[in-house]
Amino acid sequence: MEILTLVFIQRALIAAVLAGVTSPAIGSYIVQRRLSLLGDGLGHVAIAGVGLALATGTAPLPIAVITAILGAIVIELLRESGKASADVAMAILFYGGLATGVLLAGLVGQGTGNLGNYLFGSLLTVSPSDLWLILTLAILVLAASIGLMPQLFAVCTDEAFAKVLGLRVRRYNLLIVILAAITVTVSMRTVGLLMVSALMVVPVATANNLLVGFRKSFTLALGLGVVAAVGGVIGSYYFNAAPGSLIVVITIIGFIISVPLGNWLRSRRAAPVIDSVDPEPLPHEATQPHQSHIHGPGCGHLALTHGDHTDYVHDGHRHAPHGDHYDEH
Amino acid sequence: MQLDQPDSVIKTESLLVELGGLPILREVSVAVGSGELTALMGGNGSGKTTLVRALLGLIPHQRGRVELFGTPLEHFRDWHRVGYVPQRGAVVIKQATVGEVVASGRLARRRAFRPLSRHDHAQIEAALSEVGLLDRATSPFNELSGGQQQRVLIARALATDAELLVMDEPFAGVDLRVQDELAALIGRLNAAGTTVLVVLHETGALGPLLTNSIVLREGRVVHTGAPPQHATPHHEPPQPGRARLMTGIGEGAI
Repeated sequence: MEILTLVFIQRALIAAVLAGVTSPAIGSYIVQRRLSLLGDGLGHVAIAGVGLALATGTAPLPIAVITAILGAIVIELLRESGKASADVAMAILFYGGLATGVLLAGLVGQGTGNLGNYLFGSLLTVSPSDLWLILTLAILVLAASIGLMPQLFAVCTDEAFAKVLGLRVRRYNLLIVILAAITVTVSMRTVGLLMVSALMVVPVATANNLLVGFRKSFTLALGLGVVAAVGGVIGSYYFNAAPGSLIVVITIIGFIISVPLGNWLRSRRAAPVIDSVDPEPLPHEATQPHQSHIHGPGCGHLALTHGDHTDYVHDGHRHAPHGDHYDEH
Repeated sequence: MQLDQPDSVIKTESLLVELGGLPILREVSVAVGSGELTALMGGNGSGKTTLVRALLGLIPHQRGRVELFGTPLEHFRDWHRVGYVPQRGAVVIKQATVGEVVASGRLARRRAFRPLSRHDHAQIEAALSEVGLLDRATSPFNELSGGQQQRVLIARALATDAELLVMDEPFAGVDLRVQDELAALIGRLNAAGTTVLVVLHETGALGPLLTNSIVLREGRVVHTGAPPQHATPHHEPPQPGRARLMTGIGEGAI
C-alpha cells in the first residue's frame, strides 16, 4: 500500500473517514423523517458558496458552510410554514444555488473544471487547514447526533408526541437541518456536493434492511459509510476517477446486496405475528408428510408467532408442529 | 358538568379554535375531573381531534382558555404528567424496536446528553408489562399487528409517569377482539387512578366503563355528563350491532 505514504492521500483518507461517519449519522434522522432529498438540496445551495469563494479568491470551505447553514434555515422555515408554495420555493432555492455557483465560478474564468472538484469530490483539494475545519465540524455533528439521539429520534418519528413531551420541537427540527448543512460541507471534498446525499441516505437504507432497531442500524450505517468513503478514495486513486462517483457506486452495491440478505435475515427471525388464538381451536388437519425437512428457527421458511406456538409458511400453507407431524393452520 | 370542581385535570373556557380562517371549535367549555374516564365523541368533522390538539397545545387557540392540572396551558411545564396517544395511522416509524419507541416516553423526564438511568429502564419495563408486551421489547415496531402497535403507543405514553392519558381514536382500524382487549386495558389503567380522555367514534367496548362524556357537533358542545346510550350523537333510534359493524372495517395488519 505505497499510496498510504502520499501526504495528500493521507489527508483525503482522513476526510473520507469523517465524511463516512457524519453523513449516515445525520442521514439516519433525515431518512426516519422522510426527507431523504434534503441533503441534495443543501448540496445545491452550498455550490453557490463555493462559486462565491472561487470568484472572490477566498477559501471555499468556510463560505460553503455559511451558505449551506443559511439555506438550511430558509428550507426549514419554508417546510414549517406548510404552504403548498413552499415546495416550489425550495426548488427555486436549490436550482438558484446551483446556477449561482456555476455562474460565479465561470465569471472569474475558473470554469466548471475547478468547480468540478467540489461537485464530484477530489483527492487533491484537501488542504491542512481544511482538514482541521472538517475535523471540528465532524466532531460537532457526531456529538449532537449521538448525544441527542433520544430527542432527535422522538422528534423525527412523532413530532406531535415529542411536543406533548415538552420537547422544543422547532429547535430540534432546526438543529437537524443545520447539522445536515454542516455535514454536506464536511463531505464536499470527498463525495462532492452533487452526490453527498447518497452517502447520507444509502448506507442508512442498507442498514435498515439488515438490522432491527434505530440504535443498531445507526451504528451499522456509520460503519458502512466509512467503508464506502475510504474504499472510494483508494479506488479513485487507481482508477483515476472522481472519488464521489466511486463512493456512491460502492454504497449502492452494498444496498443491492442487502436486499436479499435482509429478506433472508427477516425470515430467520420469527418476525410477523398473528396474536390471535381463536377461542375455538382450529380443526385438526395434518399436513402431507414433509420430505425430511424439519421446521425450526432459521429453517428458511417464514415463521409466524401464532398465539402460543410458531407456524411456518410452506408452499402457501401455514404448518404448525404437532407431535411427530405438522398441522395446517 | 365538572366546571367548578377544583381538581379538574383539563378545563377549557369559551374556547375558539380557527383553522384556515374557519371556526372549528366555538364556545367550548368542558372539564375533565381527576380519575374520570371521559369519552370525547362526535361525528366526522365535529372537532374532536381539533379539541384534543388544542388542549395539548399542538395547535393554537384564538380565544378562551385552556388549563391543564389547574395551570394555564401557556405556563404548563409538567408535561411528564400528560401521556398522549396519537392515532396509530399518524405514526410512521420506519426503524425502531418496541423498546426504543417506549423509551422516547421518558424524554419528558430526561435531560439532554444523559443516558437512560436505572429508573428510566424500570419505568420502560413497567409500561411494557402494563400493556402485556414486555417479551416484544426487541421486536421491530413496524412488524407488529395494529392492536399491538396501539398498545406500544399506550406504553410510550405511560412511560412518562402520566397521570392523564389523552387517546385519539385508539379503536381505529383494529378488530373487535382487539378493541375489547384495549378497552380492558384502558379500564384497568383508569381503575388504577389514571385520568383518561379518549376520542371515540363509537363507545363500543368502552361504553360500560365510561364515567363521563363530552359530545361535540359542528364544533360545539351538545352534551356533557353521562355517556350517550347509543352509538352516534344524532337522534336516531338505537341500532344494536351497528357500532360493531362500522368499527370492524379496516383491520388488515398481521
